[in-house]
Amino acid sequence: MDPHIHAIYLQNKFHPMVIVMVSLMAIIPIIVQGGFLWWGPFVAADLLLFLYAGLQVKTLLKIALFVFFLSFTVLFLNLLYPAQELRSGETLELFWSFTVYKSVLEASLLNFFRIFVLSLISASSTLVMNLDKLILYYASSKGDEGSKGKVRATFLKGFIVYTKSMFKGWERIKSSYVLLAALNSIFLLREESERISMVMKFRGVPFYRRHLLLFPLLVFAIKHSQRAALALIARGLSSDKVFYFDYSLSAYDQKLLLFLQSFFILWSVLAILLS
Amino acid sequence: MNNTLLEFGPLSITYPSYTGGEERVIRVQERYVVKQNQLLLLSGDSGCGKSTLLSLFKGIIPHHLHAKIEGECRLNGHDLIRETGQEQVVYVFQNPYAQLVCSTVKEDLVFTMENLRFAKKDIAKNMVTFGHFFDLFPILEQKSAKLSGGECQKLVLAASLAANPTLLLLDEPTAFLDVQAREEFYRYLLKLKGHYTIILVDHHKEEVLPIVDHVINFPARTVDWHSRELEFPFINRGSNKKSYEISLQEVSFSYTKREPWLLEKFSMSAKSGEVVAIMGKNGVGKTTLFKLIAGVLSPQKGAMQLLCDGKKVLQKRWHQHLTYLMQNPESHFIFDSIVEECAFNSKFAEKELRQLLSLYLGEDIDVHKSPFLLSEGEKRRLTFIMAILEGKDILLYDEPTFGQDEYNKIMIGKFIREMKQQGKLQIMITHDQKLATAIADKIINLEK
Repeated sequence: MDPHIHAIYLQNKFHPMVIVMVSLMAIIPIIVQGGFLWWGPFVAADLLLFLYAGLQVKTLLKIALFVFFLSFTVLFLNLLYPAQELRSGETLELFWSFTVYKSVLEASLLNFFRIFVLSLISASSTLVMNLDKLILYYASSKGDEGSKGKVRATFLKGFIVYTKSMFKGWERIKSSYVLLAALNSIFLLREESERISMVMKFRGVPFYRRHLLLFPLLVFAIKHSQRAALALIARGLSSDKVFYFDYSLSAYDQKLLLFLQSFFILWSVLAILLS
Repeated sequence: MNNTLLEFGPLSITYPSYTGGEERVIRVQERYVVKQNQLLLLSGDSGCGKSTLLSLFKGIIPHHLHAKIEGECRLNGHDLIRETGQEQVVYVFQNPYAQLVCSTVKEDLVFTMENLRFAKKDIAKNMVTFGHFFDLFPILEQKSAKLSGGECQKLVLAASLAANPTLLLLDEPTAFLDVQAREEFYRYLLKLKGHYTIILVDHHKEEVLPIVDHVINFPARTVDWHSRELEFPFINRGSNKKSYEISLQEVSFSYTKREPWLLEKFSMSAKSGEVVAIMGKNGVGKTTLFKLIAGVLSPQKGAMQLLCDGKKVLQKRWHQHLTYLMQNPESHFIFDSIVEECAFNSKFAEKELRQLLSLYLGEDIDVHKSPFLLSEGEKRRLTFIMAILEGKDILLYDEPTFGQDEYNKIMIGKFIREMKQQGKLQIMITHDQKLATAIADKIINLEK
């Protein structure tokens, strides 16, 4: 694993549920096509929170650069192939002789910003979030009875009840540990891919045939997934397992979430009224 | 008093063939009884069905992996072929990496105990006992995926023993351990003897025999490799017969600036015709040193050079002069048939190729079969064929005898000796003290 990311894991200052919720607070208004006034402050707050949680400025800039290229591609495609209903009204000349409708340019730029911000928040939140802890939190929450009194925040409770309804009991435990094994295997896959690349270099496989790497990597992935599944059986994974470590939200995290959710609701009402 | 825990045999386990080839049948001819608190060794060649039997005892076969079973196998009176739910049977696989489920060492250590619903105080107690025994406390907070092979094996063993199993199935538990850790493990096994029922598969037969109560020997496979003459035709073909010298002077290396040196002021040299064995504890930096020797990594301090007939070779071209044999033979395979693997970059005629393949893999070998479908021993032998075909003059072996049976170990030892006679420069990482002392000109013991 990238030592930088590892350092971030160690610097976890919040429960990953907090990161999930604050990310959703910025993402939801963007998805429902709310105005900048609505989502802008949340995006700014999210980024500041991520930096406080341990994300380095250099890493954030790197992500922004990747995300910019992705969004720019979408902008370019939007300009080249606009929707039929936007092809009317005032036209503008861009660069040398590239003519676009003003409405197309406005819609494309808006899409560009939305995709940029959405991807930036998603990618950077993944880096500061301890995904393992999030999965184990999900696995360890024992039905509605177990979470009674613990989860006071209504928004959070709604989210948990919804996800719990997707998988119940044994299914939840199984799905969580399968997800966890898959997550851990990413590092093994990366290491295997490095090993195979090295062997290919030593065997003199020319650069243009390096795609052959995919075949042994696929074999490794299939074999590893079978081994991981058998390991879960061999180590006795059961539906009524206990959890030694505590993955629940601390009182501080709960208070923080309650405050953020209240603020989100108030701000959303205000932003909708003002717009 | 009847203290029988496990009874099995006569048995026949048939794996269906998904490729249209022959079905694989594993047979246990006699009836065996394992009594409570016995320590039993399953012995036999690679691929004879030892791991399959362990999977049957755990209930993986036939309840999770399909196989047709005829015969009888009972644990505490329960029919293992028809009934599921053998929770108290803990199975430790060959590959420890595949068994890690959680992201940190401490979570993995308690995972089996959590599944068996241990009380929190018992989990805490066992965590201290086994964490201390296997020296896991310094790495308790580490990410499991970052562990070295040996550390990983120790973690899996600690987690299994901490679960206080009725039956503990150990499939080559010492494969990834260094000599010292292996000796420690056997000492601990001796302490456990009489308190747990343990079935062990281990290729270090000589070391294990004084400890175990009983041995079940599997008969040799259809091809009797033991009676074959060991020959190495074409071993000198394609070789450039150049003289090489590699040297590392006061080399220091660390993966990140924040971490302390993994290798500090390390020096070594080797020349054509020499065999150098690199030994040392798990996690001491043997593989890193190998990557430096292979020119894949560059040191932060010190100097390295490779001389070919007295001329310095640029580091970026070192790979053209080296063959690197990985610990896991599967990392070498990039094509979907054995013949393609061998024919790639080879100047050998097809007839010669087939001769080599039938000699090392058996006369009835289907050369169009995927190399991934070979047994572990065959995979290793195929990598040696590939090394002969490449014909390079420097060979690097990372744990060449790992997971191999006695025959393959002998074959590997002889192969290295033959290569030495051909004047090749060979460097290997090994935990196999016997192999190192028998064939190495120099033994480098890495220490932290």
